[in-house]
Amino acid sequence: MNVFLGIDVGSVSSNFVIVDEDLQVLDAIYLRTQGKPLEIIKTGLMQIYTRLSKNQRISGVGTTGSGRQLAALVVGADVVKNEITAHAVAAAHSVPDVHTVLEIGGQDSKIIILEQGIVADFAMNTVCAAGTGSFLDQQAARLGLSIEKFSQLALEATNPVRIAGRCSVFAESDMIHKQQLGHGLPDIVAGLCQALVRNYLNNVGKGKDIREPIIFQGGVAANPGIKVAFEKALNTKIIVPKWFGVMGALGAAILAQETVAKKGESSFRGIELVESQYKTASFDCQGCPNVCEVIELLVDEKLYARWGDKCGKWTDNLQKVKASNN
Amino acid sequence: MVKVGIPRALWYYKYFPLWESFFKDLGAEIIVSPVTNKNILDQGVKLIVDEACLPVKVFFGHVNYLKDKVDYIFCPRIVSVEKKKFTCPKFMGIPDNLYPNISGFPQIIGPTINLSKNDRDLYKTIWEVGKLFTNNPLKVTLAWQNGLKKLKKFNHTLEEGKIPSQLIKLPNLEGEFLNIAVIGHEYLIYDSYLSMNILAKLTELDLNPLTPQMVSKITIEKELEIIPKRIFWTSAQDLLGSTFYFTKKEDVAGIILVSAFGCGPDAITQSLITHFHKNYAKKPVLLLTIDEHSGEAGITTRLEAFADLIKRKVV
Ligand code: SF4
Ligand code: SF4
Repeated sequence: MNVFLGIDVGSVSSNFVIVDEDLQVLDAIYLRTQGKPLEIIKTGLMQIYTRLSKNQRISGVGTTGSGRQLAALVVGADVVKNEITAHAVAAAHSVPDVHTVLEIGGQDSKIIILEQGIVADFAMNTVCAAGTGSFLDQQAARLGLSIEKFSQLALEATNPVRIAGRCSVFAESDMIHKQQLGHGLPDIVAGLCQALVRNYLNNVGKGKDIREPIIFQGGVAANPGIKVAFEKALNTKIIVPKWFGVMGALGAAILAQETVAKKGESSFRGIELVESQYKTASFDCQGCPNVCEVIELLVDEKLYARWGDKCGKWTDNLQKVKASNN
Repeated sequence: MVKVGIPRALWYYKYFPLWESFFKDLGAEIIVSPVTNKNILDQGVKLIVDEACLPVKVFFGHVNYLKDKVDYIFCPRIVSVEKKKFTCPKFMGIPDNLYPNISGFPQIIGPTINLSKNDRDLYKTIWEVGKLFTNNPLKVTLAWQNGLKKLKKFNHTLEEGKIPSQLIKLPNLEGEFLNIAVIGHEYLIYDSYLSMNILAKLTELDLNPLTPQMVSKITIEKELEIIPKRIFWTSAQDLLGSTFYFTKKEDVAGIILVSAFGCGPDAITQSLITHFHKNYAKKPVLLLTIDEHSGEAGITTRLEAFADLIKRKVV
């Protein structure tokens, strides 16, 4: 049986999803990237392989996320896609008539508006943490709660307090203030969830045509308190898809299936690739005042790819290096 | 030969054919700072107050690059280039900020250009600059007129929808492509480093960038008739008017608004555009804000997603 692999390499987490020919999810793995994308790609692949059944064969691979290019080079991907399109593809697959995708991950958040299954508008936030999962992590840590406990507590709230949360620094001091006033923990936690949702809607969601069906995905969707806060703020029902945490990888897997169906064969390098040695090295080019940090990917000590040069000097030169290697 | 340094920043992108030709005809040697690079940006950020917008910071970086290579630095105080309209206030204060901020400074050629009421004083100003190089008024006048001719030709090329290669070198698009309007200050979008090469990135995605400088003044003014209030910033007017024009143009598939972090006029232009855009034509819009910390990866991701969106396809 042919199966397809989607890999989403982000700065915080890396996800791997396997789908079958009918795009049903067979397996999903979530790993922390920990600044070592190369190792994580290998680890993820090995885990996926040990869990595949004998008759399943990976017949296509897609990559996405901020490390998509690197991942694509390592595995020999059939398709490399930006994370916005990948998330939209997965969302439209999960809820075919979806109009709005709210996505909140650990480090960034986005909103995607779809019309007839195609992206019509989007926005992305990478600078301000007050609208992302790291805001919740911080506040949970501040309250001495695990993030799991934190998410449950919000549901017990009877009267959420309003926490001024334009940015995470203010939110923190206001939260402490509310604590001192004697508000209960569940009400404070629910208040934080509402603050995050407000930040998100004012920031990323500003001016967007938010309409039903709305789905909420990304790591933070694990937190039911946020879902409730969204439902309250938007006064609508919010759907959290089954694979909310790995939607980027799911999108990449779907695109891999479609690409291979079109082009007929896969460029996937196969599991043997884990036996190769991958290394990245970098150097500062002194060729001009830009001082680009040029990064090299070495496979079994041989130069395989290069990027980071603004002028193309090193990427062009690579072709020659490769030719002389062979 | 007297060396005149021209910073490759701000007004340079609009007027360089005129300036370069003018000083050359006067017998000066011209040194233009190179395209912005990391060093120039870093120096500019170091030299200037934090509240300045990114393009102004970069301007100081260019001046700093030139300061010990030239006898003069050309840094006009451009207050207004057309009747009843003004440039951004941050433009006007630049000459005042040069001395205190950069040590060991060459002389500044910093004439004030203010055409808001009339252009009677313009020739006086030109002569004042010219006489630093010659005492023959005719030579100055001819140099100016020759420069204007060059500028006209340059603007004409733009109005034909071509981006002159002296402005920025872009790869040629072959085969099928879609047009996309890139709205932003010329010193932002044509500065390949500052803009993180947005224009070239678009061409790699088979998108042909059209810019506000391709739209004639007459068209811009006509487009702005729908706005009840007069806009008194030249740049805001040009960006807004050209956006309206591109929104209606059938063969434009989408619009990208590029703004500089810390730019007041851009914030206003953007909100006006998004306001009028909604009840105007249905075309996808992408907002990009550039600051000195923005990662290139984030810009690339947005551009790729936008390309998918306007091509209405995924694989
Ligand atoms: S890679 Fe190119 S742009 Fe970067 S520092 Fe070297 S010569 Fe300059
Ligand atoms: S218009 Fe904006 S970017 Fe240009 S100088 Fe003024 S504030 Fe800076």
